[in-house]
Amino acid sequence: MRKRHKLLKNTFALASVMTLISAWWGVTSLGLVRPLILPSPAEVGLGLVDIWHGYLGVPFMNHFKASLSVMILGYLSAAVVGVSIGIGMAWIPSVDRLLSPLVSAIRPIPPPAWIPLTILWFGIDLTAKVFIVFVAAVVPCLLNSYQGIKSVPVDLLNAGRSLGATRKVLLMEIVVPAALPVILGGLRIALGTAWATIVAAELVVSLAGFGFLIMNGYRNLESNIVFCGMLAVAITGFLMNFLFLRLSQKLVPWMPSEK
Amino acid sequence: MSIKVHNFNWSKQALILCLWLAIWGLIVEVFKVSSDFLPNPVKVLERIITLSYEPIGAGTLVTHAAASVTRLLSGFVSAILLGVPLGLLMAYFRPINWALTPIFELFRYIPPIAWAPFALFWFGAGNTAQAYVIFTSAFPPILINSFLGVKLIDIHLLNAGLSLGARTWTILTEIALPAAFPLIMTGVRIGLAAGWMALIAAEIVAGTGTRDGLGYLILQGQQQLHADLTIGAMAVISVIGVSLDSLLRRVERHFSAWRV
Repeated sequence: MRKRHKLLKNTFALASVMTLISAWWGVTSLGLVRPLILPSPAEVGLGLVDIWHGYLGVPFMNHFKASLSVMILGYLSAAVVGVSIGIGMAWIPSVDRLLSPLVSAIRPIPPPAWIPLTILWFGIDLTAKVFIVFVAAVVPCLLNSYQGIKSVPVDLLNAGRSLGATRKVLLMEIVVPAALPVILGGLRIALGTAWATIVAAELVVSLAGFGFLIMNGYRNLESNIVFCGMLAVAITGFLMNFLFLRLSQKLVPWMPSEK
Repeated sequence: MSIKVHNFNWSKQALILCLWLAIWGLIVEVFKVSSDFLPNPVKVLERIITLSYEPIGAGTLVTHAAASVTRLLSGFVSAILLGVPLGLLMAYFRPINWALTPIFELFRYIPPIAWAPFALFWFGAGNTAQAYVIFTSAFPPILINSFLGVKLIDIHLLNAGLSLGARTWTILTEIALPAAFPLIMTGVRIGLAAGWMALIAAEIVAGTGTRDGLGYLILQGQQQLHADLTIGAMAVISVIGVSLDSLLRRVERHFSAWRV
């Protein structure tokens, strides 16, 4: 019964994806919609070739490098800062008292709202984009670390205490490992937020990057370039998420796996 | 994402926040930071106040805030109207779930703002395009939570309905929907926050295309080197975001009064 179920499920999945793709193919090849509204698969292929050979004189690898270097620098620094402040706030009450009003004030500002201020402060170079990614990623890192530490079962703490653990040992060997799954959850949310924000920033102003492709495709009314840019953003986002899950399962074997 | 950060009283919180604002002001004064770069908090507050009677672009602060909230609502309400029923149906009828999940998975990794160019190609520059971008960001959390809400219903409730001879429609509307309500509301609140973020992104990316909205104010501040305008608009955005969320919480409490 279970096996049949799975077969049925896969058949449905395959059928619906095939339907979507053939509908796309059919509608565009019959000329029912203008290429601007929906580019045909062939046009998307041509777009990819165009980008590969350097769309608007920007080599393909530059887009990749531009988006990813910003992502790595901003995201990693946000992870380090966010997680340590989150842990600090959860573990030391006076830090909590001092910082939590600040966090509550900054948290509701949507990350893209920082883009113009960042341009004002740093211009449009690497620093500016790293700062944007940092701002977008630091909040979920911080909140989840805080929440993770706060929700460590008190039994674990008591067990450690009764065995004579010092506060430092308690934190490093009991609390942080127990909170890691929640902390990693925050890091994963931050990965998505940071990626969406960097794309938004590149849409506003950029000299390379996937957002650059999307925006210039739009300006030149080349919807196939826009499509390719979106595809590149989605594939990169998917790969980052996939790698993150793999890595966190490797590093934290006690992490509860996805359903 | 309602993590309780504050576990001490409000007045103390406000006091400490004032302390931070004072530090901000002090840094600006001591290091003589140019007000084009970082104005002190008093200037930002003054700016918000003058903005409430002095028009920029399409009108005063109220006009811009109203424009943004209206845009948000059009995308957000359509996300609810489509997301909740679809989530319920996907949870209740397995083939619908099997057929639609892979399609949603295909689109899942596209950030909402990346839809902006296609939204403009499809709907032209206008409110529909922005509503579409908001829809794409608010729809997934609403759909997923409605789906989970039904999937996590106590099976006894459904069986009780079935054994009393309830029809599918009755079960969906009178058992599944109320039982899934708390999770649906969580999805709606996440969707609102996501939609608000996408709206601001859309208004900033659309740039000078529209002449109203809070994102427009932020952008104006940047282009005219008025950091006080940019920061003031950011503050207004965050206050409106928080107020909308607390409004939804109130709605949630109102409609789940029957829960103990």
